[in-house]
Amino acid sequence: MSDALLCVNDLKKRFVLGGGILGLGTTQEVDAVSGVSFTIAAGETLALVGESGCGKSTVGRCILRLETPTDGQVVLDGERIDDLSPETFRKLRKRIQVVFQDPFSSLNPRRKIRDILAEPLRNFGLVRTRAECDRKVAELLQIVGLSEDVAHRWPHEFSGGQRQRIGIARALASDPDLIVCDEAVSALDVSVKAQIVNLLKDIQKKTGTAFLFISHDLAIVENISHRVAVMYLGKLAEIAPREAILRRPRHPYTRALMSAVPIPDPAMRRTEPLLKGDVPSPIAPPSGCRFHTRCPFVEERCRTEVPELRPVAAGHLAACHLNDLADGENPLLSAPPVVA
Amino acid sequence: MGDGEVLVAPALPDLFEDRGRRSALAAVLAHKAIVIGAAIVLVITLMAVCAPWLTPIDPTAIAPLERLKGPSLAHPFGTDMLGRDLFSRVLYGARISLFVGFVIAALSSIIGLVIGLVAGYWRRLDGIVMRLMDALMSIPGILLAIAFMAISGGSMGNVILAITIVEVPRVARLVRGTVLSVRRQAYVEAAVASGSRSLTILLSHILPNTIAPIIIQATYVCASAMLLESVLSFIGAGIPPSIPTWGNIMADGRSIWQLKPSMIFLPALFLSLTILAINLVGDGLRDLLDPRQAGNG
Amino acid sequence: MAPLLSITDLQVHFRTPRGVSRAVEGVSFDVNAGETLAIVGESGSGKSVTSMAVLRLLPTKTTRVSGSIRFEDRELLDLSEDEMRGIRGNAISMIFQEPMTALNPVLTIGSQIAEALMLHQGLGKRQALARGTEMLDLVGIPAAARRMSDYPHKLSGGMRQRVMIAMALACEPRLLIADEPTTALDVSIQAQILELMRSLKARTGAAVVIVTHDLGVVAEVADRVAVMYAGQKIEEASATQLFARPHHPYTSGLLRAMPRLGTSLHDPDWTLASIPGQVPSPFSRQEGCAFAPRCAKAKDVCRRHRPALRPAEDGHSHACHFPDNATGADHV
Repeated sequence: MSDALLCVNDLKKRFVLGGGILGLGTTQEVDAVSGVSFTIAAGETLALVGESGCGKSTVGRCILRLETPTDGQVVLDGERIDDLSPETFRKLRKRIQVVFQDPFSSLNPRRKIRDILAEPLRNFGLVRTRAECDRKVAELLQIVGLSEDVAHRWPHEFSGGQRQRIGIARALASDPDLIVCDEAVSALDVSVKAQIVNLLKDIQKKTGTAFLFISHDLAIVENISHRVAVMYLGKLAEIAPREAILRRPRHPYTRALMSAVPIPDPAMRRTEPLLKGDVPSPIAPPSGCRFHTRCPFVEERCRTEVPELRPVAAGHLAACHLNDLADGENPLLSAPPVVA
Repeated sequence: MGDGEVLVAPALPDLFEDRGRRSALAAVLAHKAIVIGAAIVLVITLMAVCAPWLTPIDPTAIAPLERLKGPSLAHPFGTDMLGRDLFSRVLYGARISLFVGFVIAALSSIIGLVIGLVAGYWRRLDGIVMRLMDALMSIPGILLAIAFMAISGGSMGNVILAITIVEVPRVARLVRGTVLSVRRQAYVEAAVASGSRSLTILLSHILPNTIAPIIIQATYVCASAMLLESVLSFIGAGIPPSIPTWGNIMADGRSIWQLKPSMIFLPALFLSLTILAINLVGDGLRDLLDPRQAGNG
Repeated sequence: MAPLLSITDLQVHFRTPRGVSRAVEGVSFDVNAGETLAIVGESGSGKSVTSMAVLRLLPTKTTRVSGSIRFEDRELLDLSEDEMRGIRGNAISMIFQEPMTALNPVLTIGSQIAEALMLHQGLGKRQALARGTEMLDLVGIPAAARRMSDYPHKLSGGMRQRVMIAMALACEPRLLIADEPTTALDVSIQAQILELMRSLKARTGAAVVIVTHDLGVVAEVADRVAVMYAGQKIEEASATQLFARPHHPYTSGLLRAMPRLGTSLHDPDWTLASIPGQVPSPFSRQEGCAFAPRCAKAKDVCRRHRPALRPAEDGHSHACHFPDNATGADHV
């Protein structure tokens, strides 16, 4: 796709565990991300969903160059950015910003709010004078729904939700094209979580910023995303427009994730059988389809043959052998929908 | 709606007297160990600084007729085998000990800070730098200092240099550890994403976090440097015997300890008291500054 | 029948460098034998502190506790530390949010389970180990006998939480307190653990107090629910009543703010409802209802007078001057 803002091609990230002294001793390698590709259009929200250890945060960190990808490409507006020198990339950071999960550790406790917000403004040369900087800080605070006198206070004076607003203001400072939200609302209280989700949506409407919304919570993702990508053990299981994935998931893992979301109503009981067992260790992922150890539809072929991520409908890609079957025989299509 | 229908909850008592937020100074003053330790250090420092006014006698003046006198009004601690006034020697000795302690604490903090910051932040240098520090730390401090003194010869400058070499790796290690844990904090990554350069991040986000541990460590370095200096002087590998230091006074007293035990006992008492006091301050500061050690908050 | 656990007017205050934190401000509730009570609240609501107070796990030097905590006709606040030790892990046991920190990393799973059994039940080592294996089997750990000699770090998060549950249930407690037992777990594992807790409760008959911020978890396991806000209990009802007809505006707001999967399919313009404002600080005690600054219905009386808890015959109590969905509404 040429109109994509961000293009991630076959991204791989391998971590080496336990190096030992001077590289001696045994080392273990973990493929946190093993070949992930997707695109994000300008102004779009792509949600990246998966359980802990599936590599979703590592994908975000590779795009932000907080980790160096082992292999693959990251392309912004048609230009490769993963092989840029650190100094060239530093200037480009203006266009890709981040909101972190933990509102407490993401603000330096020794800096006033003003200085926290001034940091990107100065670094990217967006303000010349002190007065200009103060004006811009006040503007940013107003966008995220805080009053401007907040600027002279310290992070510890704020609650989690307010701190996350400050984190969002910092990300907005350089008017980026893309913001990576790494579990940005996961640590917040329910009543505040909704505020922040709505704030992000408002911001997108006004500024046209694209989001990569990394989350483990499908119910939240549904409220913010245009498209959803589901990851399992370092690979994409499925990627599709939000409605398509909710109505008719084409990967058993997506289906299982959806049915595991708790329903806030004691009168409703889940009907789907639960996923069995734990996520296998990424150090030694299962052969064939990585989901086969937990899949209710597992066949012999799944244990040996890796399913390709293939189109199953318009804009809908899934990596499951079941989709090779004729529509009438595909259990994913004949099963009752998870959400009515 | 009538007020009669309003069910109001009863007021609740306060289980604590709310004194609000304590100021930093109040917190320090409420800490007994710091107050006692600092008071002792202050008194000994004042005695050392005011030595010329507290005693009119030159600590190096030899008076053969006054040899090995007991305590008297003129000589509160008596005199040594050359008739030098012990009280004035101990006071002037305090000057040297404290000076050596404070200078070494400052020097090793600064050098250790730089090494630790560099090793912790630029991971490529880490291996080489820290192996060197480990190598230095693997030699017992006293042996390393004696070896250095043997090569360089006895002078105050060399003593300071020798002990600094011994203490720097400890500070560097501590700073590196702090840097490693702070650089994983999300706010440091946020600074990277905000386009800050490495040096800016190191100096403005990471450095401030190393100050509290360094101040605490500096007190321990100071105490250990004073002890090491005394030991070096005592065994004749330190400051030249002509200069009165606590270690030199004890060394002089070594051969006549049966005749005049106070020549060993008095400097040792001052040395122990000073070290104890400095350690009290260090422990107290650690309680106050280190959040992991602080009580439940 | 007298309740198993009865908490009356519990107040817990902490002294901190930032001032006095009034974590729990006059909370009362009962837990009956065999029932599951959920204590729901957001951060700073005092829900975890309440559960820690029951087991007297709060630091003694900086904490003051007043009120009464009666368990099987014994006043827990009056017991000596030795008597308390006999109750902890035995008659009352606890499961924590982060299973890794609650397990000792240098001891095998087996020795940790066996230790509790030998201490409280007076079993011999061999019996204790056999019973431990049985417990691991019960909580659904495959190859339980082999797992007994494993160290905690070899297990996944979900498995560790299963081990914690096995340990907590080993001595057949009458009351199990679970503080955010599934918060650190992935959704698919969370569902498994909740399922396990439900089935074990049916089998053992132990009463359960589950402390959580997640109404989804409450809906899955709770018989009765107490909602806490800013250190106070503001509503209590059976789970069915609470979800069907919440009385306190805070409870209603929380329920609306809970995302439900699939809602957007029916309404493309759907936005998630939120409660404006922030949770109040525990360091300052305000006049009136603690929720008033965030409440759309708040009137002058709310800001001046803290509403008392109104008991109701159907067991649905609330502390609000202008409740939602109240039958026989006295003032609308």
